[in-house]
Amino acid sequence: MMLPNSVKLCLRLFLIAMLMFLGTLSMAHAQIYKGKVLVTPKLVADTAAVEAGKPFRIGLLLKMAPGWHTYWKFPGDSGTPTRIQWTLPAGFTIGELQWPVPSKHTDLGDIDTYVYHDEVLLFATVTPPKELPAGPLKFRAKADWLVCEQLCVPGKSELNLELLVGAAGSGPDSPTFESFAKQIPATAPPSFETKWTATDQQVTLTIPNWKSDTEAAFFFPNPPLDAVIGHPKIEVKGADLVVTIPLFEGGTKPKMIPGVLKAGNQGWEIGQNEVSTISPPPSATPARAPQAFSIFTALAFGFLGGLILNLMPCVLPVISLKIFSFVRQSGESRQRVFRMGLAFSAGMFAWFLGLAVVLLVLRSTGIEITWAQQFQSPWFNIGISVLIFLFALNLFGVYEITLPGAATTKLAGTPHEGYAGAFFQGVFATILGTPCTAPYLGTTLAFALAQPPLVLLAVFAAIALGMSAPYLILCSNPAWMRFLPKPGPWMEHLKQCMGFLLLGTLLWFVWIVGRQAGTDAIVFLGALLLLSGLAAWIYGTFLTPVASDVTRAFGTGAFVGTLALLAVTTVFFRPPPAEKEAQNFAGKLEAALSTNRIVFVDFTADWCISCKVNKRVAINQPEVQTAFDGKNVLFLEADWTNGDPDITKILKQHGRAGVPLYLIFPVDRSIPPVVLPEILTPKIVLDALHQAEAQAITQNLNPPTDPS
Amino acid sequence: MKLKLATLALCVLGFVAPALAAVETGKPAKNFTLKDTSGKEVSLADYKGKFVVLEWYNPDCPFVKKHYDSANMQKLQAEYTKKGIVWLSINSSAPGKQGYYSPAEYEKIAEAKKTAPTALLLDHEGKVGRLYNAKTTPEIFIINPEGTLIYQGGIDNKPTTDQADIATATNYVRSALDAAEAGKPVPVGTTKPYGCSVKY
Repeated sequence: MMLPNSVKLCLRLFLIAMLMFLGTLSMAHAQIYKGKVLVTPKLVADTAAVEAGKPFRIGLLLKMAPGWHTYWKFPGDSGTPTRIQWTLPAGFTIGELQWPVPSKHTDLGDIDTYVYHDEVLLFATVTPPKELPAGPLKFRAKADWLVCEQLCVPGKSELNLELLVGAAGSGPDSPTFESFAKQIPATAPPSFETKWTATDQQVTLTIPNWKSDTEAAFFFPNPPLDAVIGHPKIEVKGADLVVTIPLFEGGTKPKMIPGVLKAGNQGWEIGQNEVSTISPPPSATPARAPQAFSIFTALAFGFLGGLILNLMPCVLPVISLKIFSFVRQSGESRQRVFRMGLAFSAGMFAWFLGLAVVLLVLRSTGIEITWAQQFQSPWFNIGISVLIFLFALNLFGVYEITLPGAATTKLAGTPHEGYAGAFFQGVFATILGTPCTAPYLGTTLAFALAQPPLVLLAVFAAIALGMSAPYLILCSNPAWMRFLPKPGPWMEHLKQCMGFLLLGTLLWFVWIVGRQAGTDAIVFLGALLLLSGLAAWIYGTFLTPVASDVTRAFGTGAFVGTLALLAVTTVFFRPPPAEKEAQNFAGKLEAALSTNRIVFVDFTADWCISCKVNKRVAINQPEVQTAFDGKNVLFLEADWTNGDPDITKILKQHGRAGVPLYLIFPVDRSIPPVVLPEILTPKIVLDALHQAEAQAITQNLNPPTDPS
Repeated sequence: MKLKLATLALCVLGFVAPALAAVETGKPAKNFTLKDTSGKEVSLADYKGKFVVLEWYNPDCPFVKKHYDSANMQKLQAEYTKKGIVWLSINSSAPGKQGYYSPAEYEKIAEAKKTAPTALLLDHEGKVGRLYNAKTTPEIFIINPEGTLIYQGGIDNKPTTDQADIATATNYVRSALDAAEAGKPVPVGTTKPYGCSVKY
């Protein structure tokens, strides 16, 4: 079929117009300054199509006019780094931006900058969700950069990339990725050793036995925001490579400065993963302790924290028990009451000091230690549950613990609590108290855990002293006890009532065990409770000191039989360890931080009562939730119930030995997160949110300079 | 005896000299004399007894434009000069480089932008820029009435060219001057300056 010429012409013109339009489309993103194209940005991927669950790389390719440059993540003396904000399809996550090794550019006036010439690809790894809808996927990058030659021109662009769902395979831009991937510094620990020394004036990196045949090496520093540094100086001293970085007066004084070491065609991330030694300055002057905390403050806070532990919800049932026992004692001799108080306190000391010793031993073997981590083990929680149950049965009067010395008094008809009983009550109260990291105790513990053994012991002793102080004071002057009610038959009822309170605590542990190890574990725990309860009943009913020999013999048999059954159950019927769901918290956090939203991270654990209380009274309050919605806050939970190395690391970074910890990351990720206190109110959360939103966080870590 | 004293003096000098080489917060600020756009000579020493702000200036640098196009800089200049604080803008662009103009052209720009410093000083040889180790525009130095350098670094904590960032940034000129005027220690004495390179 022949078309009339006029139609042909029309079609041709239309095609030309289309092509021109497409041409302007691809040029639309180019940065043009005074008629010259300075930067052509392009969004590229290293795959032909997106396959479910199969990670691929996406990147911003900047092509610069000859002689012009853009900047590395730390720009040097002037300039500003290129920034990218990603918008991904639902369910996709993106990793950290990868920066190829830059080159050093020097301007007149000793101005050093770390830059890219000609062409650079800044990329990150994208992980698609396990299931993908059909149809094209849209990826968007909002990028801004500064491009300089003699003068500087800022540029920005919003770029789109559409990828189809299908089998992954190399795409047209894959070779570009391959060539830039080679320029990414190695993140694996380097084969060489790194040593850091720091003074107030400079930080020095020494790499012993540096191969002198390698080409000129250079160190690109990436200092913390609040440190102000001079130009790194690189020298080869004998067999060592020495990098010296001057520190400016008035900035913070870091002990090390991470960065990228470049030698020949190779680059290494330094100060990230490698095992490096940080030694004190070699100067003769004793190193001033840079700790925000002196030992004495730690002791004082430890004492105060211990005191406050008494008021924590997990300790209260035991404390009420103690008050009850004081009531019972009020009629007794002053000396005996005092000794009972001492025994109770000794129990507290025994637990804390014992814990300190265990922690020291663990630490010496190189195991990461944290507070209350014993609750991360379901076995520990099961053990505690049995203990609580037995204690409750004791209160109900199912059995009495008779100790050899006390047997005679028992026969005389006056039930007495033995010193050993008081001691174990002390231990018990303290064990229950550990999951409640009381205010003050958090930082104190983190401080103590990093101290030499004697200091650690002293701090733990201070906590024990704080916790036992009220009892010691009460016991030392029993006259004060007359303010407490007179003993009488009501005490028996009170005692039994306390037993129910303890069963409530037991319920809480059962819940934790269930969360940790599942329904089977709850039933298993129930069986253990049943058998230990039976054993306690046999003991209390048939093995009393007043029972006949025959009864005692049968009783002993039944008791031993039950214990054997208990042992068999424990060994053979224990539930398979619940499969721990890999949390990949580091990945989750990274994904959250790659969004353009304020991120609120709640570090919690099922066994952490303060966390639960904070959640209820502060975070879940309507006004806080409304603020979260209004400010488009991304809420992320870090669950430490079963322990998690990623989370432990972050806790340590923020000077905490355990949960709770609350962090709010402002939208500008270069600003450090706002750290909330350990006890929250809606107002505290809202204020912190406003602070994060205003991003006006003045860091005041360095000692202010005296203007006079 | 004399020899000993001389040795001692040399030793002291030997220690002091490198310290003087760098501009250090908390140390005496170095004196200089430059001509302003009207040809008048201005010395730092003239302003002993007053707070002095030194602002490295290049009217064509996008980071400088961020603060002048938004009137942020003019507002700071007007506010603090009204309080008796001396504000010296310094241009260290070498002849032919970006930001280099004749005195008359600078005055025209000043009129158009309604800038409000005490004076704009011309340092086209880059002497004072190098003396203070100024690397970027806008870079700020603040000197107290006793002649001690109390702040050096960026104008604020948002190293961008985006005017929208000014509203949420912490302005270090403001925080340093307000604290120092109230007799309090300056919260942050040194920050990393940001901006374009000084066009030496």
